[in-house]
Amino acid sequence: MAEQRAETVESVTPGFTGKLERSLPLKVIQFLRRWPVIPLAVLFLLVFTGVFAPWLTPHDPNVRTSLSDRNAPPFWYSQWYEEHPGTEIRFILGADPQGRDILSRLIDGARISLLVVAVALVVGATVGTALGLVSGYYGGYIDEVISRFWDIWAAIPFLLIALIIATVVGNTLWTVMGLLAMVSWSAFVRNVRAEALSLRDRDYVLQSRIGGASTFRIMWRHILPNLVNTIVVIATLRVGGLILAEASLSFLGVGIPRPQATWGNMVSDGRGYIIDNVWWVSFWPGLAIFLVVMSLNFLGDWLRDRWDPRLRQVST
Amino acid sequence: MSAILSLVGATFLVFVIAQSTQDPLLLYAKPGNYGISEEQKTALRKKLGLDRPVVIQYALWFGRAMKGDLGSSIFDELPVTKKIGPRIKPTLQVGLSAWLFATVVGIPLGVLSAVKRASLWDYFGRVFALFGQAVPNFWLGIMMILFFSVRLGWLPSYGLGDGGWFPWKHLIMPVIVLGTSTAAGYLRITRSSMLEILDSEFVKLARAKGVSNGWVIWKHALRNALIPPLTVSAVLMASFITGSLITETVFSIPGIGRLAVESVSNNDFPLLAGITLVFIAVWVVVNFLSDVMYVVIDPRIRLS
Repeated sequence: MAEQRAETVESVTPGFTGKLERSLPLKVIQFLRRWPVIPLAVLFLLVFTGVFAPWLTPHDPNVRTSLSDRNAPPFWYSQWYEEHPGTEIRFILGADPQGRDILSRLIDGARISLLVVAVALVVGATVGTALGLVSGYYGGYIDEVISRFWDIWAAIPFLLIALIIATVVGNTLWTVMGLLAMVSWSAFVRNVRAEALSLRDRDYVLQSRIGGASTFRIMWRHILPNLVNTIVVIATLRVGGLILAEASLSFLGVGIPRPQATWGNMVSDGRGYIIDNVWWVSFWPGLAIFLVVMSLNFLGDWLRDRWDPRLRQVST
Repeated sequence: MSAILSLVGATFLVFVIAQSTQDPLLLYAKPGNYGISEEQKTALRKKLGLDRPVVIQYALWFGRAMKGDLGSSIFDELPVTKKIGPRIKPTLQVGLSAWLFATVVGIPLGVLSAVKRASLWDYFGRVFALFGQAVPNFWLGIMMILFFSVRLGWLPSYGLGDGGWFPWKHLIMPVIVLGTSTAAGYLRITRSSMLEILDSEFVKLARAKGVSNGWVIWKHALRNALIPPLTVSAVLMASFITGSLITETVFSIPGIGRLAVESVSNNDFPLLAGITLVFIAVWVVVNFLSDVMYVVIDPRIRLS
């Protein structure tokens, strides 16, 4: 194909002698189109900062430097820093209303987001997959019960339940993780069930049953491995929603308690100062959430198209 | 049917949560007691019916709720219904306008980006979908306030004005904040279902018969393509409820969502339970309506 095209180009443009090569910028664009480089870079940054947070934060995320640093703007506001000689350091992204370094809190918050969402997702994926498998494999009234339960569950506005739990139990790291796990499982059940339903009558499953394999073994060794793609795709598509949910909880004040920095409560910290044009307190953490969620959704779409196009309808 | 079950299930869950974690009396009389004696406690327990099993308590509450009695708030002892009542209008104003916005933006844009695939419209639609599903709505709200209220001074930053039915200046920002993710959801689903339909045999047949492009899209494709967005309407609606909590907090709108957030800071459990019931009841109604629409649009269901 390529040679043919090269010939035509040479015959059309007589002076053309070089090989038909794509220019470098074009190559870069094509590479970027084929592979989700930017989302992966954002996520790598997230994981990296999350894991190494204590060594990366330029200042202590929870200790304010001095009172005069309240709402100190980002470093490029030179005029402000000249007018306030009391501040010894220039905050890269500014300081929050309590004079804490926003960049440090952002990095510290990445760690919390990562931790909470990872735990919630693992629990949710395990429970959801297990229920979906059982429901699809056994069918009958077990399936009916699980499906009905799913229907009811999907209808519950979870933020309300979160508020209630926060009033009743009080909000801790663990309740937030638990809450998010409660949200995350439901996405897995439907698709895993549908897949399990179609897999259970395959010949190889039948054969292993004839061979005397236990039900558990069939599910674990013969059905589950076929579902890995589906599970990974759903998980990736789901993470973004979980990060948003965690941030919403924190924003409403029922997430992980202060003074722990989370992106959600950082946005909320800046809310009251927006009127004074102090934009940096809310802006950065929100931008971080936005970029991370967008990258995850993007990556999820990409994975789905590559691994499991049948899931195209799931993405909501 | 499953909607009613959801209603019962969710409120029951609320009850179980309240019951299982600690002595529910502590919800009413906070630890530290405020000088409440043991006898008074017992009396209060009896008065609130806390000495009976959860199921009975729940049944009693639900029975009263059906008659329109949701108990009274702990905070100021006003009946819960009285507290919720005046809050309904603002929530409805924002909610309905946001739903309109989501539908009017999401569905046509979805159709457009499917029909004119790989055009500027499609590009715009996809960017909007990515943006809408990733942007944290509370942040979007705050940034809009910063830009349109603080910097430009065009739009009011809080409240809904003084009680008109359509204070559009006050509504613009809350509606965008509440509606954007739903619009993005509609757009995505409409686009993918429209693409699928446009690729189907009967559309090809219609084209082969010489039906004009506009007519194919309007008469043959659109109707079928609208089914998936309708089915997810209920799920998107649930996100509306959570969205209203956030939107009303950000814009200080005196609606039910903000009441829920306030009731948390007051530890007002009966109020919160009442609000949950109202929200889920709304959800049930919406679900029912979307089922009706479903039948109207898809004749296969009507016939079977």
